[in-house]
Amino acid sequence: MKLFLMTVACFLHLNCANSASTEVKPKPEVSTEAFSTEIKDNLLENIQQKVMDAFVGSVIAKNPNALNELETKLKDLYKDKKQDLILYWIGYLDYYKSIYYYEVKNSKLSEEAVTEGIAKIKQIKNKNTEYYAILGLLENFSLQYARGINAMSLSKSVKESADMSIELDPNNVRGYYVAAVNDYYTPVDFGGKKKAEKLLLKAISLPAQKIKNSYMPSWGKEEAYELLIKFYISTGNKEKAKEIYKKGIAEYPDSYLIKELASKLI
Amino acid sequence: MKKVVLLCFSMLFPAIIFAQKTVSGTVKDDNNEPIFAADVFWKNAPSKGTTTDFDGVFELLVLENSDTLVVSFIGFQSRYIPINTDAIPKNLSIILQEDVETLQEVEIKAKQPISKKFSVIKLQKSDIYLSPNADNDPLKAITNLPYSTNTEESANPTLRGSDPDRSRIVLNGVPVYRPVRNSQLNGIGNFSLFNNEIIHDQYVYASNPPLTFGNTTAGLVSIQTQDEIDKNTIQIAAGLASVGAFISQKLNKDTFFQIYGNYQFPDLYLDVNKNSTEQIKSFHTKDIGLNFHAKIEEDVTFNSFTYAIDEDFDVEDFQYGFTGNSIASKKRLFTVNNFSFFNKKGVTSVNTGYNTSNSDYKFGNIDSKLDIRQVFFSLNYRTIGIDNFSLKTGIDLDYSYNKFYGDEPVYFYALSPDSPNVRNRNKISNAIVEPYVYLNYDLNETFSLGSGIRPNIPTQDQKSYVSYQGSLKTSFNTRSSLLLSGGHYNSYQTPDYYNQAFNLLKSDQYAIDYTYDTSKTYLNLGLYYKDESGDVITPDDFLITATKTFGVELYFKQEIGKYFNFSISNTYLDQKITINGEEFTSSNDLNYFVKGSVQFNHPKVFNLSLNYVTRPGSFYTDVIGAEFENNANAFRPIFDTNINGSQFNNYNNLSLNINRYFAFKGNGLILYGVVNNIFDTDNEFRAVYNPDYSEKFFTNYQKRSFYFGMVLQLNH
Repeated sequence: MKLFLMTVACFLHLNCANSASTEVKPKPEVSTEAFSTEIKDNLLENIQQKVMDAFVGSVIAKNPNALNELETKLKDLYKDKKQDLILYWIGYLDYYKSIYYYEVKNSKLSEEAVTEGIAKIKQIKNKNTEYYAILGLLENFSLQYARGINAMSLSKSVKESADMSIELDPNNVRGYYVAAVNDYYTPVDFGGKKKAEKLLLKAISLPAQKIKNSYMPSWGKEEAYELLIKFYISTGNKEKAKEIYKKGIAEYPDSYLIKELASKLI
Repeated sequence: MKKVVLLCFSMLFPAIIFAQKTVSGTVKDDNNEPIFAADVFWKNAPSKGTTTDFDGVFELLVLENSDTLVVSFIGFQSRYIPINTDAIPKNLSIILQEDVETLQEVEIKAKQPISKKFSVIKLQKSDIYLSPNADNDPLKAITNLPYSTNTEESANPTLRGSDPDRSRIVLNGVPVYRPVRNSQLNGIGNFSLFNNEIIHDQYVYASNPPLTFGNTTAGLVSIQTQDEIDKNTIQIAAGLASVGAFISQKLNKDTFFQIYGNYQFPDLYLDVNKNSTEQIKSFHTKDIGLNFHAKIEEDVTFNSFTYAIDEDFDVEDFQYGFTGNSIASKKRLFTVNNFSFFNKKGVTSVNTGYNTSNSDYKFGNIDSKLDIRQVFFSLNYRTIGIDNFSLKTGIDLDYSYNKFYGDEPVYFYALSPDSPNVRNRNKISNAIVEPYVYLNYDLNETFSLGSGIRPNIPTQDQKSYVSYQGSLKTSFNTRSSLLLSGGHYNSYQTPDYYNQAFNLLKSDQYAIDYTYDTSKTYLNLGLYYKDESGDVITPDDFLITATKTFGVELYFKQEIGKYFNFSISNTYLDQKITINGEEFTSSNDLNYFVKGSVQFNHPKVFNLSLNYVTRPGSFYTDVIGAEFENNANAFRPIFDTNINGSQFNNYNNLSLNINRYFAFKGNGLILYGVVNNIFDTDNEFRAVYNPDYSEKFFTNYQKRSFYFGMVLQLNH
């Protein structure tokens, strides 16, 4: 059932125009080894997966209740704890909320959600590499709602966020992934698709998390595999696409994102 | 069997005992705030760690052979703590220092002014590019906004009814006085000195200028130049009246330069627009600008902008019954240089400016020359705290030297070459020295307070004064906010032909601005009251000692679908001036000032904007008679005692801008065209008279005119 839900979610997301890939993967590994102390049960435990579950739940139920409920809980927690990391996850949830509304063809609410997410992240005063990465991801998704020269300006902002994420931590996979997405979806006539390959190769060489931490994000690497395979397919380089596919499957054996590209490699 | 069991048990026992040991503690930052979600693990077993809770507390099992505890979190320097597992300390207190790389963050924050929350609008390069009727000119873009009450069709910002000279344009923290080209005696100019390509953004403070800057009693436009470029670019531009080139080149990751030059010439433009430009005989402008940005050290940046312009124009002009050619020329050079030194707590900046110009103006018996030398220096420090409080303090020295010389009429109304003139030599200087402190305090997510104070340290014969202000911004949510501002301000008049002195000007201002901003809808409602004082002589030789202004402005902009948007604004301006102790209606008293625009922006089709401006005509003082004065050899006009008792006809202007961007292999070509005053409306600009003032007629604002051109952009 869970696989089915994830498949639906993936299918929905893959239809999103000009968006970064969503995080759809099995529950991330977390620090639950026998030797670690008992982690306090709180809302932020495995939060990335909780957001994904709420997203899939909303898609299946055809209403955003699951996402809204989780958002309310996060907002309540933020009122109590005032931790920037909570804002990060609200922003991440807004990203999925925006994708949900996009899929139900409510572009007004989709735009509102992604705008809200951007505002939440911008509110964070001392942004580290992860905040810039999620900001870039959100800005990139909001590009579809920007027009003309504003889109160019926003695209520049995506690039700045990604650059900043990389600048602050040259080993953060998510910074490279967002930079790659921005380049990949920029038309060639506007100077795009020149750096995506290099950025994605760098992304897949990095760990999803340097130290496993259930409160922190781990998205980006699996998506980087997916986008790199797509890049090679689109440039007619099937051999390289197959090579990356094999590497990706070896690291993410259950990845729907990667597996669904198999048919295009034959 | 029992022995085997016992042996196994005895082998396992130490491990079980060992496994029960834990190390615990609290992780905090150097502000003593707990760090949530920090990683805590043994160096030899990074995969078997734990994370801190909301209180920064952790507890970790001690593993075999573990002797070094690692505590790390993004944005902080990791700590490696040796632990003696035989005597494990309880409740370790671990402080993590912020990573030095957050200097990047400090640099990013420092780009935004400390008072940014209290500006009414921020325009980015793309906003300026898309601004209707702005011709890609940063200052002209402001004239489309409701805060601009400019009735002159000039680029010099007239903010909320105040004389343009009361507002300041600041480039990278350094004031640029007389920021327009082709300026006339009264400072009116068609274009600003700034090229949009070098600009990163500009903040507009329509009233209550932040006291981080001095010498303004109205508003402020703060322009920041680019501090990074995406790609190397060569642009070639050609239009009906100008050709130009622009080069943007990276030298390394953080160092680049931008250089540009333009040549303006009249022939084609006057030929195409001969019906609407009869008064223009010629104009020429040559200018060159260089912006250089470098990161000298990891924590030191340098920016230098230098601009030189050589311009002249020749137009038929009418003043006091005399008709003749106005011939003006000007050479100017200015440079703005900035050093910024960053550390984790803030930024120290040194801003310097130097300006020199020589200008000459001839009309009738006037041959007025003006040499200007200006030096600006400021030293500033700004905290970039992680908390809700930030402060900026510093001291400015703003020195101006003006030398007026040449021939001036003995009688202000007798301008014919047959009327007497007198040799003028008037050297004046002014040194403004002002320290300041500006505070920004975010009470919570909803309320922000800004406050500044700026006294002067009197030099020469200056009076002592103190400028002060307070602002409160309430953000109801991410979309709507309310800004309340008030303050008392001081500035000195920029001397001109009519005012050859540094008169001290003062103002008290109160403003309320409500803004509702979503990605599709923008609504702004502004109310303000200003009480301005200080001596200002008008071209009609009246001395204005005070101006009172009450204004209401409403601005609404709406996106419709992906490609359409429209905007409409209206301003009501009730303005009274005091002359000889008596109050009169101001020339710019406006019952309405409507600006509307409809835009269609489709990158693959074209961008088009249709813009309409309408307002009542300005008020002027009529001449009701004249007496011949033998000494002056001219008629002396007798002005109506009802100052500003007459009014020009209503102003109406519909204009069209159209452009198309063609992208090819990362390069671009822009073709554009402009039609100004499509209906060729006679909008009265000034009343002029025959020599004995028996006949009156009107000069007009620009009649229908056409302009078109192209910009080729090559990226490499």
